[in-house]
Amino acid sequence: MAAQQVHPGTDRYSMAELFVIAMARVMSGEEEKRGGGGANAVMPLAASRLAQVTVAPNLWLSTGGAGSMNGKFNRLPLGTWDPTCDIGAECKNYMMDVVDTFLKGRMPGGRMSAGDGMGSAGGIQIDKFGNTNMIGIGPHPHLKLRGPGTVGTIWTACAPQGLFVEHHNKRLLVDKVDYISAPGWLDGGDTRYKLLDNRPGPVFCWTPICVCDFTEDTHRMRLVSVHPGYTVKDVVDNTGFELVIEGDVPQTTEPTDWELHALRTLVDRGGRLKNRRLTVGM
Amino acid sequence: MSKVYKHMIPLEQQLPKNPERRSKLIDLEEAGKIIASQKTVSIAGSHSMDGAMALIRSAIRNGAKDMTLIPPTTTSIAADLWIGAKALKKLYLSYVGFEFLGFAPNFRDAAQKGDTSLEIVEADEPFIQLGTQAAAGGRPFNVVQHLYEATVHPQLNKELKTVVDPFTGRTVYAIPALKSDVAIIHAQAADIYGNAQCWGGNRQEPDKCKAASMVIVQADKIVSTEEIAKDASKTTVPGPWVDYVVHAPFAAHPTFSSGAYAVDEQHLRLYLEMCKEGKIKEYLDKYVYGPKDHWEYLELVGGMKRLTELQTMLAIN
Repeated sequence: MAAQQVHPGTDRYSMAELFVIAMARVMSGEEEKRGGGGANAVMPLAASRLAQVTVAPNLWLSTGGAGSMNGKFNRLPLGTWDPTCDIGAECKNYMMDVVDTFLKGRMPGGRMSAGDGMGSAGGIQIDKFGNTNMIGIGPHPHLKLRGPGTVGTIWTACAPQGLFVEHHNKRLLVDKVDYISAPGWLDGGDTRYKLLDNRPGPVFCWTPICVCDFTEDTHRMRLVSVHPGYTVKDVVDNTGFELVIEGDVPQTTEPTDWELHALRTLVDRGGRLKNRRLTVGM
Repeated sequence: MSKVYKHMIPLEQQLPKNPERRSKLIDLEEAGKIIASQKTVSIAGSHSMDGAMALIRSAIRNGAKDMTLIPPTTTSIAADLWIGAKALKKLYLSYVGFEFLGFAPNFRDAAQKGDTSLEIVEADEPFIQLGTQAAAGGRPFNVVQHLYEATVHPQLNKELKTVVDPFTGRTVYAIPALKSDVAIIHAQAADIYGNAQCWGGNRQEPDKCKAASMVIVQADKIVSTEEIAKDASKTTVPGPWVDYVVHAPFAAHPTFSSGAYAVDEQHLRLYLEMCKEGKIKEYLDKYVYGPKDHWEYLELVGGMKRLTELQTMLAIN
């Protein structure tokens, strides 16, 4: 069965726009924090830029290993390597700085975690504890599916990052990842705290059709809202593990006209998010 | 849903009370108080260059004592002044001296008189730089080989340990992570959000910042963020690392500020002379405790005329 494409969403907004707006909302606040994303993390980059120009004036917009910080683009870059990110940038985050600050877990000021904001990691598999796999599927080294390599996804070990996937299906959201290349909450409970010196794990997992977080005790993935046009059943049917579902799960608040205007004029003038391909199902 | 989920609340309902970016500018005296309240301070710059002198004077003036200093690999008055003011408990030593002007008087005095109140760690360039680099990345130690096997350092410096290289089985030396509570950095220009440009020097400042829990920048000049954004690669201390920015023109005086003004050799000679005559207390009273603020200090060392001369020296030297 061909994957069902979820864009363009409704007449009023695309699902990618909803995704980005919902993600931007959690970054509100006047405290200093780090947002952005690396490599192909355009969605968190867009969300962080939107938060920065609306609700988070002291957010530092990072492009991860690509280096430039606080680029002032109003057209969405293709990826963090896109020189559009450098427009108006104030400083560079050199590769060694990325490595050092993540290893340290906190930025030098100690004010913010190296992973604050929704600087985010994805994977070719994510499991119910938010562990992600970028190695591949099947026995190593002759994998059935060879992933691209694990790049900087391991930094989820150091700081509480967000996880995100642009495709929601059972092949991606699995009960147990074949390989843990980036740790989430490991086996749940306090297993992560024990191994990683109490460093907290992922906070949210964003998908094209829902938002999940992790329960406070078992650290299992919990469904917190379902996007308009989809039901809890759609989410359950397309997820390869049992999500924690507590009571009635609300519908994600739709983007308002104010939010769409802000996104389309201040962040995504080129309208890239209108056509970004997000999918649900296999 | 008992928990409040912000992703459910539209952005326009979460607008900040203050939509402006927060300035990190603070007053020099406030910065001095903060530094004086810490235990371990690190500085960058090197030789008689890019010393965080305004901050150092302010920290001393504000009662800094029993501090541990992690200096740059070479330094002069930026270390000697702390010692003269009896503000140091421990010094990681690589080089403290005035090069062509001679030895560092207060450092020598303290060391040679067997002044037990100052512990001197027999460090050197690799020890300071690699120890700082380890701390910069939250690593427990750094490893070197082909150095201390041949020298006296391991006997004199108990912070140097050995460790077995798991790849070769060879015994190598481990340098501990040199963390600091506060790094104080001299920059030629900075914006009010902490993006700072150090125009010269030898780039000891990024590691010193990353290895610190807090970073305070003293800037000769405050520039707009637009000015900073003209070339992001000139920002050697990225804003997100910085806690506070202090604006103090000629803040590195009497040391050299890379690309901005020359070393005040006359003043350094005056300092050395007074120290040799046992008049460090008089020096401190006049130049550190005496001036009511940085502006008065600048007047005292020659004012506009002398400071302009120092700027011009760079152009015609």
